[in-house]
Amino acid sequence: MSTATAPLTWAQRLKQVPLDAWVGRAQNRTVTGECWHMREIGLWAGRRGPVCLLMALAMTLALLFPAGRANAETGGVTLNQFERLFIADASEPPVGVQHGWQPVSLKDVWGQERRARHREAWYRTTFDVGHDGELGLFVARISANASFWLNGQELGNTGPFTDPLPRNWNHPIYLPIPPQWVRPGANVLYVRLMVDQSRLGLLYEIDVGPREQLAARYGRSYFAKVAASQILTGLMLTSVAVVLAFWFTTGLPHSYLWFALGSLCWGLYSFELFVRHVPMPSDVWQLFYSSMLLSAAYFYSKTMHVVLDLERRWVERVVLGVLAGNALLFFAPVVPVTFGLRMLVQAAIVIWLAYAGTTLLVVGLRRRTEHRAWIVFTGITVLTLTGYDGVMAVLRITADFAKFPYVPLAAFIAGGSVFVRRLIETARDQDRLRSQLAATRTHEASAVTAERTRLMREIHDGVGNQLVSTLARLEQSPSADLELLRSLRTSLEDLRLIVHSLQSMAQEGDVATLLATIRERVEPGLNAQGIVFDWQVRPLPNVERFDSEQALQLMRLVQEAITNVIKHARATRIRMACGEESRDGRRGIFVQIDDDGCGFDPLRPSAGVGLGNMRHRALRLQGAIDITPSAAGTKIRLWLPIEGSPGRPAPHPGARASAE
Amino acid sequence: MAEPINVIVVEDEPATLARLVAVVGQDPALRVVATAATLAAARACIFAEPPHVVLCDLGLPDGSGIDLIREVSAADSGILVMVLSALGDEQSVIASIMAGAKGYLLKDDSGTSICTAIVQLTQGASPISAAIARYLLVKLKEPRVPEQRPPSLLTERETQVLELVAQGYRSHEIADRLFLSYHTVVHHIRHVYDKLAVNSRSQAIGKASQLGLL
Repeated sequence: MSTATAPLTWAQRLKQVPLDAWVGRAQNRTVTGECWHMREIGLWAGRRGPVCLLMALAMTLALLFPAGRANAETGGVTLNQFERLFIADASEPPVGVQHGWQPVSLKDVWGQERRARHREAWYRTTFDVGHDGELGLFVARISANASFWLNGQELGNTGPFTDPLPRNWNHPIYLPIPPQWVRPGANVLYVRLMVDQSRLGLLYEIDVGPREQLAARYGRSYFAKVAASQILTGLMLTSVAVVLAFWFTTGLPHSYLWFALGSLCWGLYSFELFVRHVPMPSDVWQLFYSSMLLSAAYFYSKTMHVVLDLERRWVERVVLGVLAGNALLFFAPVVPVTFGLRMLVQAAIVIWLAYAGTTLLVVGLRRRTEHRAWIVFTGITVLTLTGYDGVMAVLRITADFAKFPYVPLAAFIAGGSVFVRRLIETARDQDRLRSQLAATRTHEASAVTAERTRLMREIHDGVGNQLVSTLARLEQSPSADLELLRSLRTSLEDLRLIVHSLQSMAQEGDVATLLATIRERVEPGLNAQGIVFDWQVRPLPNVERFDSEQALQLMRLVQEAITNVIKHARATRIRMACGEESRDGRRGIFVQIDDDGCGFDPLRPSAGVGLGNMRHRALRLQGAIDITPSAAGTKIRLWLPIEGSPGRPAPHPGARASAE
Repeated sequence: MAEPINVIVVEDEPATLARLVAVVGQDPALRVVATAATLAAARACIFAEPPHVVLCDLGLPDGSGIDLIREVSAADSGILVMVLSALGDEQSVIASIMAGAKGYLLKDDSGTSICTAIVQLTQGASPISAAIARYLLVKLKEPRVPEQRPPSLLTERETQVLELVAQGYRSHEIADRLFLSYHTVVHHIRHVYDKLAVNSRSQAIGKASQLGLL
């Protein structure tokens, strides 16, 4: 390092400083595997790091500081000085009740009492609009159901005051005020609020002001709390389906399953954020969604531990324990107990989020793992959003809305990007493998072709020419052994047959051309015997399953049939016909050879062997053969299916050769 | 009968050569004017005294008969070359036709059929087999690679004729079926051979032999 000859750039210098020196903790410059170096940071930051950090920052900022400014600046009034009265079952403003009203200032929270919890309250205030024109009313947050009364008339409500109560806790409220209801000077506003057994009563400041402003504000607020949540949930459930489908059909690691299940539970839990009217008792619903939340925490823990390669079963067990405890809440008879346990569950979630965020951040920063940037990104986001909620809760500042529902967004983005990257890599691998395979196949095919070409040349130039010349020498010798001559001719013919079976017509299963080749071979011999061909061959569909062996079988079969005619039938004419024919619904072709000879006795031993051979060849061709001798000639009909039956093995040679 | 047809036989195997010379010499219409056992000897005698027909073996000691066929047909002297093949395999016959041969003979064909084939060759008929016809149909109709597409494709008639040859029909049967004269049919076949030769002559030597392979 010290011997560098060229001046180092700033970045190069930075990369060479060990981190321990950088943070001023160690003078020891020994570079060990454990030591965290600027070099690594440089490598890491050089790629996805900055993008991830920027995203984390942008996301948290956008969520922490939603747009929208104070009502007062736009000419409205913010009502926060009220009187509150706990009274049950008053469906209209309790104007007659004089005592029990307490002054409160909004945001107002009530219901933390252990015993004798109130479920209902009325608020009242008097205000002067001081503004002409169209007015509206906006409330950022309430719990859980409310109705608003202006000057003795109901402006509107968020649902019926019967169980199960509508769940408006995450919904902003906007109501337009009819102009004729507004009085010049003092106006009286009454608000009725009702909550579930286990929830706190909550009422935010009430803004009354120009409709346009408040409607726009309501829109923004609604989007941040509800619509965005819906979009996120939809995205998550879609991605869950995709990942699960991939997991079931391919060999994805278990971490993907845990991630998908975690996201599924979170997606189900998220319905809590925008379902106002649940069709079940609120206790049941609450049990359901809190179970989903805890299950999500459980699965996300597993995912995180697998991804980060941490052995922390106890964390997962604790989460499972809380999940089980949460289920017991359903049976808890006493409301205050339920309420307290609910708080415990919420605390557990917050603690878990803090644990997850810290772990992600610390491990992501300290370890050289894959997808490190995304791990850090998730950690930062989780900690910021949860921290915000935690601070708000501890300081008893009830924020406009909770941020932690957006925590999985970070996991979703990170996990999604990792998944997509993996898919892209897989697709690339697949393309590469496919082209490799194609190249290998082409290579093999051309190797086969080259080898076949070489063999053919060898056969042609060597064996073929030698046979021909021996034959020529023997023919010219006056004392030629006729038997030897015939046997040599047969050898040459057989060699030619094999060569034909290796040619393209045979490879492609062109039966018509194979038959034509046989005609070329046997016609001179037939003509010498005074037998003529009645050639009725038609073009046939290619029997694509044919290979050289089967082409050879077919040619030998047909040749044998013709040889039989020459030898035994005393015929003058052979008719060769072919065509398409389906049998038992299978497409096929037939080849028919008939002569006008005297037929034969199938029981004669020599005839039996010849027929057995033909039948045997027909079986090897996966076809069927019918041989019908009669006094007016013999008819041989061979049928071959176009497509072979793959399950059927070729019969063993000789198995049925002697049958029939 | 007027002038006999002058034939040169190029074959390096003495027994085969002797038989061919004997067979051809039996026909009064044919006359073997020279024989050669090597490429060099064949070149010398062909260009010294051009014959009507050359029967040419492919595997010669000093090279391939294909080269001789190509040289003779490039000279455009009207000399007809027939390739002598031991087995009549697609590969060697097609390669010869692309080099300019007008037909092929099996070396062990009977004397009569060899002589008939030579006489018919001078009358415009080229021997063809079903396998070769099929090969020509495939190669000239649907070339696998576009740049191998020959400039002149088969005509409809030529296609019909080749298809029937590939199904095993003889030239006179094809004439009957297509209501053509025998001479027209054999003319079509000869024309297809010419096309293949002209087409392959314009191509590189390596490419031509490549096409000739399976």
